[in-house]
Amino acid sequence: MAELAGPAAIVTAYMALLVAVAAWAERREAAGRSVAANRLVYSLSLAVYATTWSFYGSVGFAARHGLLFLSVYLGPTLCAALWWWVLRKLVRLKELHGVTSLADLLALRFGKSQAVALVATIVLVVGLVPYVAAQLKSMIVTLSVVAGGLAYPAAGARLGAPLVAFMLLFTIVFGLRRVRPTERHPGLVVALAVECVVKLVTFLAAGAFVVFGLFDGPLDVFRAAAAPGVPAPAPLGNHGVGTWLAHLLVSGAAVLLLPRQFHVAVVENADEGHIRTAQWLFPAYLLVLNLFVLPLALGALALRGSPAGADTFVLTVPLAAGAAALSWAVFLGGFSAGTGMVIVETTALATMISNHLVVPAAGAFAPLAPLRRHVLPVRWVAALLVLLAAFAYERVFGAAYDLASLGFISFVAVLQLGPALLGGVFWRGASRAGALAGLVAGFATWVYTLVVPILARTGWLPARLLVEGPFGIEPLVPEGLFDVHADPVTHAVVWTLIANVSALVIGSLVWPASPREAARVTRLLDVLERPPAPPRDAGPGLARVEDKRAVAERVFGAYLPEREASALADAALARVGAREGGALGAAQLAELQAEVEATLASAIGAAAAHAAVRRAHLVAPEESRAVALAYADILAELNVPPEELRRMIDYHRERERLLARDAANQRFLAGVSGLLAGSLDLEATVRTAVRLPIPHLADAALLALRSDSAPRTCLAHVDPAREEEARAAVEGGGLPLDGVPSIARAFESGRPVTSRPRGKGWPDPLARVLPSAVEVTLPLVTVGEPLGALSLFGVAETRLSTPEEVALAEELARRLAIAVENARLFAEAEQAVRARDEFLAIASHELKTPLGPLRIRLQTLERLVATGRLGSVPPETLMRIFGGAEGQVLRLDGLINDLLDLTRIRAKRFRLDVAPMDLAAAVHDIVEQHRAEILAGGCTVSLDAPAPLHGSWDRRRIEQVVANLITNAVKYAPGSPIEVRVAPSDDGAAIVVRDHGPGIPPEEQERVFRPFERAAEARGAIGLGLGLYIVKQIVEAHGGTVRLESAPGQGATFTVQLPRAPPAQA
Amino acid sequence: MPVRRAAEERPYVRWERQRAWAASILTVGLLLFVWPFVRTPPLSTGLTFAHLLVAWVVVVAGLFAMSRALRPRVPRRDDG
Repeated sequence: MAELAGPAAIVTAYMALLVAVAAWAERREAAGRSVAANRLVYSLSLAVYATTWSFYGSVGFAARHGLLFLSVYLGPTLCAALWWWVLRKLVRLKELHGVTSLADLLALRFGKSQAVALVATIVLVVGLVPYVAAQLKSMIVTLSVVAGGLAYPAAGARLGAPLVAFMLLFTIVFGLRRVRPTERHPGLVVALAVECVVKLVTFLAAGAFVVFGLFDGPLDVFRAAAAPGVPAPAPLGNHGVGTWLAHLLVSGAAVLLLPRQFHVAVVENADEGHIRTAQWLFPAYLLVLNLFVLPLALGALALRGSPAGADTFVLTVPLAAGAAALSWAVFLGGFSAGTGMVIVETTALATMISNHLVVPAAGAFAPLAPLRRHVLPVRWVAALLVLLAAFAYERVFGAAYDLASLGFISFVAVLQLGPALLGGVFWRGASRAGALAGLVAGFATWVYTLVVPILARTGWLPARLLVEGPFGIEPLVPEGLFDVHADPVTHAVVWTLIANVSALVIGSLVWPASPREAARVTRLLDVLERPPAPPRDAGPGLARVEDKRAVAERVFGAYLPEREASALADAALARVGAREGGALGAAQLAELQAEVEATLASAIGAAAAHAAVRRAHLVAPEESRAVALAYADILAELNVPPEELRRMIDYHRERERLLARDAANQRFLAGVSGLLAGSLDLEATVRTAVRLPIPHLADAALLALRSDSAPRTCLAHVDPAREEEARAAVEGGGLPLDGVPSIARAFESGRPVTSRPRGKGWPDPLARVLPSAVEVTLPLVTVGEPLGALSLFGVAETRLSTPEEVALAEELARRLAIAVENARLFAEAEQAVRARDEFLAIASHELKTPLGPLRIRLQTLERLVATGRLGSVPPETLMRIFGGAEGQVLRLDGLINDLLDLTRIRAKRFRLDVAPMDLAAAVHDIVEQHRAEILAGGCTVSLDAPAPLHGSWDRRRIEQVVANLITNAVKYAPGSPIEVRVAPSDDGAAIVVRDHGPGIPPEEQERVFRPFERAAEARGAIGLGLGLYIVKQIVEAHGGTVRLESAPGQGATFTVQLPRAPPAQA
Repeated sequence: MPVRRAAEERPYVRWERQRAWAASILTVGLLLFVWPFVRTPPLSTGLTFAHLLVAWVVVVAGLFAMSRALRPRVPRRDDG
């Protein structure tokens, strides 16, 4: 056995690696981060379909029969178009009823019949033994090749026992370590995906080596194969198109009906959406896998000159060419393909044997009853028996048949489950009797047309049977029934399907299902249309919860460990809404029975679970009558047939679901309104608003409000850590959110913008944090321009996926926009009130100030008159008193005029009295009028107006502008020179007033033109702060502009630009 | 209630469209896969192999397109 040390070490190391991968996947699953629940892993695991037959047998088949091998892969490719209906329906049934195998599913469909499950199990076990045998044969042959010094079939005697032990060990490790309520094995699925990658890579490497290493590409291979003396096959070997079609059909059905395929595709499916990916990725995998099969076969034929040993061309050709490393890799790939198939197939068959053969037998025969407590060891023994049977088959028939022949025998066997499965799932009239008849007739025909010839050729039956037929009746020859002659597979396909389908149809028509069973089937098959059932009203109590818990625990405990049984019983009671210490109503009792049965079915199969629950009397006979009566009362009261009742129930459930959802949405909106109404502070409103959609509508939300400077943004996230990460970047401002396309489009269109996945263009700090599956950006619109945008994000595609959710988000945005607008208006109103109060205070002060000196002068005059000293006062003194009084009156007049102007401007009653005038003369006059005031302020004034400048303006208002600017200069630049210049400009005239005072900082330059601004900011200054505001209004009314240029310490220059004539509307 | 009516009608329309996809792929695929074996005169093995590979790619592309079409439709108020 020393020669086996190398191969054994390699395959053991490889399997240990797969075990490690599986263990890692299981740990991830337990931690809630599943690797198996992935569409890519699911699609790859389906490629367990490609066994050693694909790895070695396809090349051998191609060498002998040309392109016929492709039917094994093109059939599944075509049938993949139907997976969305067929496979999805099977997955739904598995989810609802805990289906564990194909036999289990058939039992569920046909009245939870143990007979149907048993027959299906027998068909599959017997039918697949040749297939497993083919894998063992392939592994033995390739082991003997790489080990050297061993020859097949003799090598099998030495390698068989260790190989069977090896396979059993890893079958137990991967698939039969424990009895699971769901029968899902995430570790196994991930290991299968890895195994599928390994075999693809190694096979492509071998193909590329032959085609490009030993030949100069595919064309060279085909040229070499066309040379005389090379036994290259015809396109379909010796077969016709009928054989091609039959092989397509068989293969297309096998890809779902083979137990390992059903197990991986249905039982291990974690999400029915993964089927969509698998239905194109799996055929694409097969396509790539087969690229080199024919070139490799033809190349090997050209090199060897004979198809002998074609099943191992993939291994022997590189080996003969001295590519030792590649040969080891190919060996590993082929071994990998074989072990993957054997492990999953044996797991599936062992589960079926235990669930549909041993467990029912243990329930029926008292001596076998203890086996119910040992389901796991029973499966181990079943796996061993399957492997031993396959090994025995290989020893007896393996040498006489190639891999493909053995494989097709099994394919035709599993095809016999097709009519019952498809008829059962898509034809409501199919009955249990019909299914049993079809299965038995098809299986019997398979045995007669395919197994009997094998037995006859290997001496187990008389060989003349193949020539003369039984009892000398030639039309009954197994391979030429009724004188129909074709290749064995096509012949068997035709006759088994005729027998199977005929028996199914006739049996179903002659022995139809009972009305009760038909109603159950209708409910069962509506699985794709039916919405999930909401919780029901418990009704009056019929049984104590504690009693039913004890029974349920006993039912589970018969097959599962005590602790697990207790947990499953509690879970079942929780799902029907039972409360501790309470009672169960009729509907709850019926639901509890269904729950316990479905849970148990996941472990021991539907039929056995049904029988176990009935035996345990989970619902006692009197309770069962009460349940029936309750339902009968409902039916009688409603006076409707059951079908109508079911439709009504479905309608009301849907209505109830919609009402519940609407109520939840209304509660959400009411909560939104309540929270938003809680404050009129803009900052608080923004902080509250951004949290509202989470988590009811979205997983993250970002609120961006427009403002004059950078947009004001606020973010909320369901994950506090991520929210914290983004907070600094978002609330620090400066993010170019206006550049985000979704926000820009929402602003532009005024409508929601939905992106799946999230739209592009988000700044980096946000893109790292925001969920990426979905984004809905809603503009916040009240009247006019949008105030901002609310962006909602989801981590799953299902977020914001219905019209109702989007409508809810729109309503939220609408209410939010109103709240933000209210808060903004409130802030503005508060600001206006503050400004008004300050203005009133200042205006009162300013108006009162002249009154004091005026009153003093009047009192002085009054005293002079009262004392009779008026006549003795010098006239100059009297003139000074009157002049001072007049000055104060004029000051009051100026203040009141400013207020009147403000009123006119605000009321839009400001009118110009335009007439032709000389601007230079007008400015000259006003400077002269204010010269005394200027000198009094310690200033000097220079006027530069050398020539008349004619135009049409309101002279009085222009003088007011110049006067205001000069007064302003005197007030804020006392003691400095003032320069006034009047000059023509390109399209009119310019008046420039420059002082050399302290200047105005740039950030305040825009503010000085606002009303009351100065008054509000510089309480010590005189005046209402309206001068520059009025200047600006007058100039703009003339169609001109006023510009301020200033810097701290460098004085201020006001430039008034006027057109020659104001616009007509001015 | 135009939005709600559209939502109720959509599944039926989608169901029909999905059936059309499947029927088209099955029919076209079967014709492509059988054609080289019923053609007269028959193609060589190499040409038949090349034809089947190309047909296979076409069918896989059709399945991919169908898979995309079967994705749950998401309501979009905008194309974003």
